[in-house]
Amino acid sequence: MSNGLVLGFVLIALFPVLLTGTPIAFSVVLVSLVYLVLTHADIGSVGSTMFWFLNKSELVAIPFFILTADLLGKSRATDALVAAAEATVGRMRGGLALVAMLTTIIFSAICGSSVATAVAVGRVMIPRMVDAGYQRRFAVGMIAAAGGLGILIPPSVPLIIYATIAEVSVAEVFVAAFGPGLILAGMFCAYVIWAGDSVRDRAAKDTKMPSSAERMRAIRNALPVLLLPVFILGGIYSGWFTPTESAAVSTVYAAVLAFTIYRKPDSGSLLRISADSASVGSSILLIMTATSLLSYVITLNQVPLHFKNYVGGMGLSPFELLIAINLLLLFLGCFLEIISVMLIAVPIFLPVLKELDINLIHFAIIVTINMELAVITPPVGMNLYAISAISRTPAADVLRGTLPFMLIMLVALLMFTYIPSLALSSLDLAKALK
Amino acid sequence: MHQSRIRRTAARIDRAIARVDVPLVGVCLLAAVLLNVALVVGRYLFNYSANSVEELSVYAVIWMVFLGTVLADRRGSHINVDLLYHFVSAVARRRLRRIADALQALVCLGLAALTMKTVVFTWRIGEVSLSTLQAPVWLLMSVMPLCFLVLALRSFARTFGILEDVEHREGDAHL
Repeated sequence: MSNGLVLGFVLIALFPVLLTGTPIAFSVVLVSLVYLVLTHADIGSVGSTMFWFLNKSELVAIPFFILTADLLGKSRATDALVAAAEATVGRMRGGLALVAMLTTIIFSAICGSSVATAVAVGRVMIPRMVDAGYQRRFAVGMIAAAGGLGILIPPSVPLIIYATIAEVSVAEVFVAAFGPGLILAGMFCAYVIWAGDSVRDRAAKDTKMPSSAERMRAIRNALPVLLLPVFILGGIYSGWFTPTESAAVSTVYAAVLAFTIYRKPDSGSLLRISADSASVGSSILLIMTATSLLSYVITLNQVPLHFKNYVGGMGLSPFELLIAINLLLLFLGCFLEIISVMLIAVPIFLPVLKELDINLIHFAIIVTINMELAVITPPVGMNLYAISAISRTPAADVLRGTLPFMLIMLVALLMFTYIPSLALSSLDLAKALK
Repeated sequence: MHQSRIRRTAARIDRAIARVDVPLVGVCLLAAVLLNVALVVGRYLFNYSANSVEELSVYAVIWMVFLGTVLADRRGSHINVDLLYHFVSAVARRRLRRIADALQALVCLGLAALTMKTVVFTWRIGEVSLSTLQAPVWLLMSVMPLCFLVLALRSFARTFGILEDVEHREGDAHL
């Protein structure tokens, strides 16, 4: 049996193994080890491959950003953000839905994960929206979809992972993603305003009109946490900090906020929160190091080279190639969680992207929007299940609620795929300002 | 009688591990954060920069990853695909969980053996890290076989009903 055939078999075998509920990291290691044993390849380097893969300073930022999000999520920071958003846009058409959207956008600029963003905002906003007469399906769908902004608006764990794989600057990817993140958020907000009362069972007033003193007080209360995105992005792009240092500084800042002004009596000790974040961070990094083994197996088979030759032979234009890649990413995103998709697919695409002169930072935006869609598409849409669990709503209802937002994301995906200047607008602007 | 003693001993060992995993993992992450902040403070306030500090923070996170894997396993918070679990009966769910535990045990046992071989190899050749720290690599790597062995033993124990099943928590994943 040829090595290529063995690889095909083990990749197919990955799906039933995953369906047993075996952790993704161990499932990926299992099929990689089976391949190495069956093809009599060098198995002795497995330990060093896993260790040296993790020995990258950029990856250190991932648990830091998770800890920052956890510290703020377990404090009253989200409530302060909601209050500030409510005081600012609560009386506009779209009311509480717009408040939830604005809170999600701000939380996305602090937290690098979509599930964490959806859960943190959803816990506070879904019950309030339902109480205010919004259809439950709309409320849960909106939060599940908007949570995806957490991975497009920097800081973002998947963007760090992409930058590591594609060997591009994390800082440039962060700055580039900021513009598309805001544009997509703007499209969501426009839909929420347009939908207005049609998504409400009863037209109750969301909030009373705040006086200017109340409005100022709410904004002042949220100001310390509103400064955090400025620290993170400003610090990185001004060259003051590396992305990892910026993540560390923001963690310390978040810890100070969480244990002083936004302290909650039941928030737990710093060590306990740190262990919780480390546990989550280690699950993510373990998947990454496990997938590095699968990438090693894929590279042994020269899959990227074969893919490049195959695509080259088809004579595809960049336009056609990007359509094909988008369809493939959307398909993979339905069945695999996003880190695995990125770690397996991106290294295969890279040689052909370089050959066709496609900007790798532009491609980062395309991949990330695909991954935003992946977190809300079944059967492996993590935001669907997380929101279903915290709101006690059937996952199918959450999915139905996300459909209008999914459509908006598909439009955005097409826009950012075929108008590179739009996808890179914030990076170009930042470069011009520099 | 004999079986219940094995169960009690396994549960006692697991509780002992549970007492140390949270502080160890938490300290590793906090140490990495503080080392990076120290880099910034050192650079801007004391005009001092050392690549060994950055390297130490990377090693702290590597230790966090493997120790955190043990913690995540105890809490059942490893990221997995639990789609099938929503559509099958409780008995089938239990069986699926046993299969998953058995597969995890096999993988972890294999990884424990392979990573142990790597540790012994790096110890024999006396490999040290590249920065001024010159840390012995075998020592840095030694966390891998240790953690994979604990995971293998725990998953085997769950497979044979010696330790209780872990219920996977929902809404905790961070992707």
